[in-house]
Parts: sequence; C-alpha cells; structure tokens
Amino acid sequence: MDLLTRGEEVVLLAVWRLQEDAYGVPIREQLIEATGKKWSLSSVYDALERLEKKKYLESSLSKPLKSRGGRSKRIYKHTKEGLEAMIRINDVHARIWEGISKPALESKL
Amino acid sequence: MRNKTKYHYPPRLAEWLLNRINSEKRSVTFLGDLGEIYNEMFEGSGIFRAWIWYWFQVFVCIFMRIINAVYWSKAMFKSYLKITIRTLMKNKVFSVINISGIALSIAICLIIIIYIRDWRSADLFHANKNRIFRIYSTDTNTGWDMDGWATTPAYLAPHLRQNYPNIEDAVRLRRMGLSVLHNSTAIYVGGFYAEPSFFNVFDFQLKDGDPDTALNNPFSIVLSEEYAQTFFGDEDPIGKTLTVEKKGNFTVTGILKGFDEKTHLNFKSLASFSTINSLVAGGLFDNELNDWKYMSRYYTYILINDSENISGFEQQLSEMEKIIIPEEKIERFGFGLENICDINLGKNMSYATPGTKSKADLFFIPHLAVIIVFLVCFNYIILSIARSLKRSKEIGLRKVIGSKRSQIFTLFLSEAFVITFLALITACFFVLFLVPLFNNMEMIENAGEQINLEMMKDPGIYVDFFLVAFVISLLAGLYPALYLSSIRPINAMKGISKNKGSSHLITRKILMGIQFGVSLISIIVILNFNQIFGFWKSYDRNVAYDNCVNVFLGEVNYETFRNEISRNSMFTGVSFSEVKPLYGRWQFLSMKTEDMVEPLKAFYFNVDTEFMDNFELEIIAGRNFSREFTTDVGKAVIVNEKTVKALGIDSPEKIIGKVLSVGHNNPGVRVIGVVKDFTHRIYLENPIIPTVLVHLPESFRYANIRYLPEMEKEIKASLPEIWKEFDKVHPGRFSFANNALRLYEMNNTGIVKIFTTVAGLVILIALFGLLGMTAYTTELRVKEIGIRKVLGASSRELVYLLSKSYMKLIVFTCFIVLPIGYKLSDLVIQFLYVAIRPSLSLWILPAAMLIILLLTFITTGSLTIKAANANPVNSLREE
Repeated sequence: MDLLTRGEEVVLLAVWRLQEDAYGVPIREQLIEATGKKWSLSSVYDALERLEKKKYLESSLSKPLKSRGGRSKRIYKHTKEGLEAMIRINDVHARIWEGISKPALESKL
Repeated sequence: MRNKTKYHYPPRLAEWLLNRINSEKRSVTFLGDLGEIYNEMFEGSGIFRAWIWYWFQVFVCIFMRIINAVYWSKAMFKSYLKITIRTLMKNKVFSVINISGIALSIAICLIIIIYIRDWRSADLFHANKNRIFRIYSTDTNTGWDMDGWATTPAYLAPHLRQNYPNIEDAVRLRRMGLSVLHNSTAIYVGGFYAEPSFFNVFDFQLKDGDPDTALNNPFSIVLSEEYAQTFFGDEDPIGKTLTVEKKGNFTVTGILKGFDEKTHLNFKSLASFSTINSLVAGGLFDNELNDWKYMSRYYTYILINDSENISGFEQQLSEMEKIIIPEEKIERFGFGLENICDINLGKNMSYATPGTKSKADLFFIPHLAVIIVFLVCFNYIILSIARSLKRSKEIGLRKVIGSKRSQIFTLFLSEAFVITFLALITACFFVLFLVPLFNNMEMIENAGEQINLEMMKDPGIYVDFFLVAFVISLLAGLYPALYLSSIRPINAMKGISKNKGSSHLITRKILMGIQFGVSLISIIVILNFNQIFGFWKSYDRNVAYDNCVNVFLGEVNYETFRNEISRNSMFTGVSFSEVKPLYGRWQFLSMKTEDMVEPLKAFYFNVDTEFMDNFELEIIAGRNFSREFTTDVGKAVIVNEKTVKALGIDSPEKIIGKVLSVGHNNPGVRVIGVVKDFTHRIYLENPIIPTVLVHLPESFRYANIRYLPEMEKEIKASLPEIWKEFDKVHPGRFSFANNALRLYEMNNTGIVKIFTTVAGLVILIALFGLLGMTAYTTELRVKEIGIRKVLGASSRELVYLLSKSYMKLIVFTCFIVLPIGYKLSDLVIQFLYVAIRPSLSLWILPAAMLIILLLTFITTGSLTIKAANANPVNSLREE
C-alpha cells in the first residue's frame, strides 16, 4: 500500500494521457510540458524502467519502423497495480486538497 | 505519422558510442527515439543544430551513467570496505608490508610535493602580485642552456616610464656590497641598491622610517634589525651615519621589518639607487645607466596598471625591442616578462638573484619519484595476481550467487583504493617523522635545502596528496581488478586456475622479468659507485691540493706578506695566485698559434714563481717562471700537456719558444715551459682540459700557504692573530682547502647514501614481488609435487625442478638487461657531473648477476624447500 512519489505520479499520468502511443519521445514531451523541466531522454528512460521494475508499467516492442531508421518503439501500458496505485494517490490527493483553492493560498502570500 | 519523408541518419559515431554506453535492453528503442527527435530537429532547425543536440545527448548519457555508478557504489561502499578490511586482517603481516611499501613510495612523492610547493610559494605575500613582473633579457648567442638573463640594461626602466602609460610604476635593483667601518673593523653589509618606488611595488615593510622617502636621497640606507643592532646597539639608528670604505658616508633612513615568507629577493639592507649616480661620478662604478649595451647588473621590475592586458604589454615590449636594439642584433636579443610569483622554480637564468631556484635545478627528483611509484605499483599488481588463486574460490562463489563482473571489478578496485589511502595516511606519518631526520643531516643543513613542513598546514596541499593516492590506486588496482573479475566461476570452483598454460603465464613472466631487471640495474649502479669511489681515493691528481690555506690579500702587498710568512716555521711554503687555486673561480682565455683558424679555449691560472714548487707540479720541458727574466711578467706562459696536444704540436719540447696570441689586441706570449697534466679542480667533475699558467703579479689576490697536516689546528687558531699584523682593520679571510674537500666528500657520500638507499628500496620491493610469486606458483604446483614425490622424486630433485624456471628467467633477463644496465649506470653517473672516472669495469656485470641469484635463492629458497618437503599425503588429499 505504498504511495507513489511525485516523480512516479507524473510519469504514470503522462503515460495515461497518451493512452495508445506511450513511448519515449511523446512521454518526454508530456513531462517537459507538465513539470517545466527539460528532461533528458535518459532520465525519462530511467524513470520508466524503474516503474517497470516496480510492476506499475509493462512494456512491449512494436514493429521496426522505417521512420525510425528501422528501429522499434517500446510502448508502455499501465498494469493492474499501476492503475491501483494511481487510484490511491488520486484519493489521497482529493482528500488532502479538499476545499483548498489557489486564490486562498495566494491571498496569504 | 508523416509518411514518405526521408529518414536522416544521426551521426554514426555518436550512435555507436550510445550503443556501447547503454544496456542492450535499452539501446535499440533509445536510439530509435533519439533518431526521431533528431529528425524533427533536422526538419525544423537544420542539420547543424540537430547534430549538436545529438552529440550533447551522448555526453548527457555518459554523465548519467557515471552518476548512477557513483550512486550505486556509494550504496555498496560500506560492504566493500568491510570486505577489504577483513581481507587485510586475514594476512596481517603481508598487509602491513604491502601497505608500508606503498606508504614509503607515497611519502617520497609527498615530500617532493611539499618541497615544490614551498619554493613556488615565494613572493605570494605581495598585494600586487598579479601586476608585478620582472623583465628579463634573452640572448641566443650565449650557447649555454640558460633561458636568459635575469637582468636588463639599466636604461630600460626610465625608457618604459617615459613611453608606456600602462605602467603604473617601475623599480630597478642592483646588487650591493658595502664594507662598513665599525670600531676599526670592517663589516660586510650586503643587499641591493633600490629606487624609491621599491616600497610601492613590493610589500616589504619598514619598521622605522618613512617608506615614501627613505630611498630618495643618495647615500641613504635602510638596515635590517640585526645590522642596526650590530652597528648602533639599542640606540635609534635613524639619522645616524655609516662609514663605508671607498664609498663614503651613508645615512640610515629606516629599519626593515623582519619577515619569514619566502621570496626571491633576499636582502638585509637597501641603499638608495641615486647613490649610484654619485659613485659613477666618483669613478667607482662604470657608467652603465644611460645606454643599452650593458645588461648584467640591473634588475628591472614593473607594476602594470591592468593585469588583464599582459599580452598587450608583451606586444609592446617586442616592438620596443626593434627600436632599441640595433639592427644586427635583433635576432639575438630580446626581452621577456615573467610574473614575480613565477620566478622561483621558473626559468633558468644567469645572474639570478641569490636564493632563487630554477626548474632545471629540480630535474632529477621527479624522475626518481616516478620510478619508485611505478615499481611499487608493479609489485602490488604481481602480489595481487599471486593471491588470486586463494581468492578465486571466493570470486567464483560470488559470481554464482549473482555478482556481475562489473561489481567484482569495483570490489577489487576499491580494495586497491582502500589500501592506497591507508598507505597515504601512513605516508603522512612517515613524512612527519622522517623529514626532521633528513633535515638534520649535515649535508642538507649546509646546502640550505631543508624541507619546510609548514607547507602541510595549507589545505591545498591535501588536494595534491589525494591526487597522488588516487593515481597510484588506479595504476596499481586496474590490472588486478580486470584480471580477477574475469575469472570464470566454474574454473574457480574446480580449483583450476586459468593460468597453467595460458597467456597469463607470459604476463607473469614479463612482470617478474621486469622486477629482476630493475633490481639488476640497481645493483649495477651501486657497484659502479663503489668502483668510482675506490678509483678516486687512489687517483693521482699530480698536484698537492690539500693542506693549504688561501688568504685573501686585500690591501696587503704580497712581497711583504711573503717575507713575513716564510719566517714562520709552521708553514712549509707560500705562493700567490689571483683566485683560490683548484677550487675557486674559473678563468678562461682563448689563444691560438699563427696557423690556427679557430682559437682554443683554455683554463688559466695567474701564479707566482713559487707556485709550481708549492703545489708540487712537475715541469717536463722548459722552465718555471723566474724573477730573473722580467719578460716573464705578462709575456710568458707555461702550458700543460693537453694544450700541447690541442695545438697540434708533436712534443712538449717543440712548443718551447712558440708565440701564441691570446684574446684580442695582445702582442702575443711565449711558451717557456710545459707542466705535466694535473687536475685543475680538486672536484673531479671536469676532465682535464688545456690549462695555461700566466704570471701577472699585479693581479695577485691570494696567498696560498701550505703546511704540515698536523699543524692545521694550531694554524687555524693563530692565523687571525698573524693576519692582524698585516691589516688591523679588515678581518682576515681564510679559506682552508681541506674544508672544501671535506664538504665535497660529504656531499658525495651523502649522494651515494641516498642512491644506495633508493636502490636498496628498489631491490627490496622486487624481492617482495618475487616472494609473492614464488608462494603463488608453488601453491599451484602443490598437487604436481605430491604426485612426483609419490612416484619417487627426492626433495632435492624437486627443489631443483621448482627453481629451474626462475633461474632460466633470471639468466634470460640478465642477458637482456646487463647491457642496458651498463649504459644506464653510465648515464646516471653523468648526472653527477663526474668526468674523471674509470669506465665501468666488466667484472661488475657477472658480479651483479651472481648477487641477484644469491638474493633470489635466499628469498625463495625456504619456500621452495618447504614445498618440496611437503608430505604428499596432505597435498593429494581431496577436500
């Protein structure tokens, strides 16, 4: 019943948004857009591989494509545990952020 | 996805690199993704940007890998540390010896680092150090291997001040020596003449007096506190007068504050530069102030406005060279700039200020350190491989459990690091302990070469120490780590080592061969030294160079001196010369006969008529100088045998009467005699060269008084009194040849001691390696020995069998190394500047070989014998 870390959460959500075509390049773009940090491709891969080790994601190789110089993509999908972890963190997020709005925070600045 | 757009291939080399860096699992898709982005960039921003981005990714990848490795190593570090310590504790004796060996070699490196840092820290205390530069002169014509002259023409500084606004200030220095009359004795005061800008440019402080004005007026002087105390006791010296012989009265305008820091300017007093003008006017100094011809007396320092614009200034300097230096001389002469902090341990200059050391002076030492470091690393490698058999089971087990090769590699590498760092700490203690002992050695104290341990307080030095240990760990640990991590688990567990008949055998033999070779060379060098010293002891110099005291005449007339001294029964002979004979200044002249084109350079002595007898020199043709012939003064010379040969004349008799022209504008001198070759220097550094004796009584400066050796103590005691009868004012200056000899011998023995210790260390280290290897190979062959024993071999035969492989290796190495050793030993001796020496006698070579065979036998003998005597039952038992 471990909670996801922020980094893991971000990556899993990125994969979610991409649904069918979740592989290196678009995941990276999502991450850059969401966090504002310039992720390098290797750090994206590191994160994906760690999540796969934790069994929150599973991957499969696509067919080799000419548009990639004859190389395949590695497509990531959520596992059952992964989805459950996301649901958990969603609950937690909803509970702890309940009723708190951005203007309220900003008024205290 | 777009279709039918061409795929642009990213740079191949970069792709290959990425492939190597990344794991197999990741590689393909990773490269695919990168290729996609690359293509996007290509289409969007052009090939150039895409290229740069791609290569950038390569670097990022490498960087991330390192970070990961470090991160994981940190995690494993604690466990590796534990293992290493456990391994060390298991063989305590061995570990201690191993670590001590490494510690010793590190200690030597550390001492060298301390020494260099100490010398390089000179002049760091000046506030303006970034802007203070010294200008030096270069002359390509000198033909020596100096980098230039630390001095410049005197006119340079005023010229710069006038024409170059980006010079904030400049100061000129000239060496100063004053003979101050105090209580009717003469006391020497040394230092520099300095311009008033001195205290503005440099950070030397005045304890009393005003730095802005102290050096303004001519005949002003500032003194060190010691001098002030000597001359004026506790009274206030400011405003008082010093009477200087020949030069006049100086007024004391300040007291220098004492300081400890190292600097290349070592002085105990400063006189005002303007004094020089008056001295020139009075005829005491030559006028060198207003032209560019003379450049050997004045030092020029400048304070630049802007430390950023050095190259700009250098540019201006070289342009100025063209204006100043006459056309024909441009290629030869030039000026250069050096920062004040770079002077010490920097360029090798003529006329360097006293107390400066140049890079060239250090030449020998770093080579030594490198050799020792390499040897120790070798040793470590050999020993690690030797121990590998014992550990191969452990390694096999680890691999079976699941260690990756890289982890085992890291394990052994960290073992090397831990050992080296333990050695580093031990080395620091060695240094703190050994250096005071070293500094107290008489030879070192005399030479002023003490090692300054204060440097160890500077934190920066520990960075250097760390680097040394790091490099040594890498050198020593890399090969064993690679080797040990490649052991296959199956072979290890079965007890088979990969090494019985494979390529590693050759590596082993080569490493051992190198150890043998190096020890052999060390032995040869030591034996060579011994031979040389024996030779010197019995060398006939053909001149009586000892038991002589040289007295500086000063104002005393030499005839008067001679008359009085010869009446004293303590002395056996007295003669006169211009310089201290045999160990004083060098004097050269060039001469030729009418038919020679190129003049011959010869060493010369200016001596009186008694000189030959006094020093027992043998005339083999012609005659000595004689008072009967007035033409002997200045117009007659005596030459040595070497000169005769060098001038191309068949025999000494034939040269008598010949006229030689000497130097320029000389009417010529006649040869009146030939003296048997003698060593013109008591130090045997130089071969015997053509030497000429001349007779110019007005230049006699020294009396050479010889005495019986047993009278030496008495003479030392009574000489000052005797001198007072001739000159009450000036203290006598006596130089005993025996002292110089003793110092020289001490230096030599010192050097020999150091060499022998180093060579001994080398041999010890090599023997260690040998011991380790023997242990290793005998263990390998334990079963083989057991079987042979069972089959009926005697212990003796087995010992022979086991030793055979060594002996073969040694003999083989000997054949290769002995000629190298011969040459090398010769080279080493050359470094010591000893030209007069015997050639290496050949008996040394077999002697060295025998010694090393003996040493090998002693070291490995017991092990081999033990192995040969082992009970076969125990060896053949299966575990």
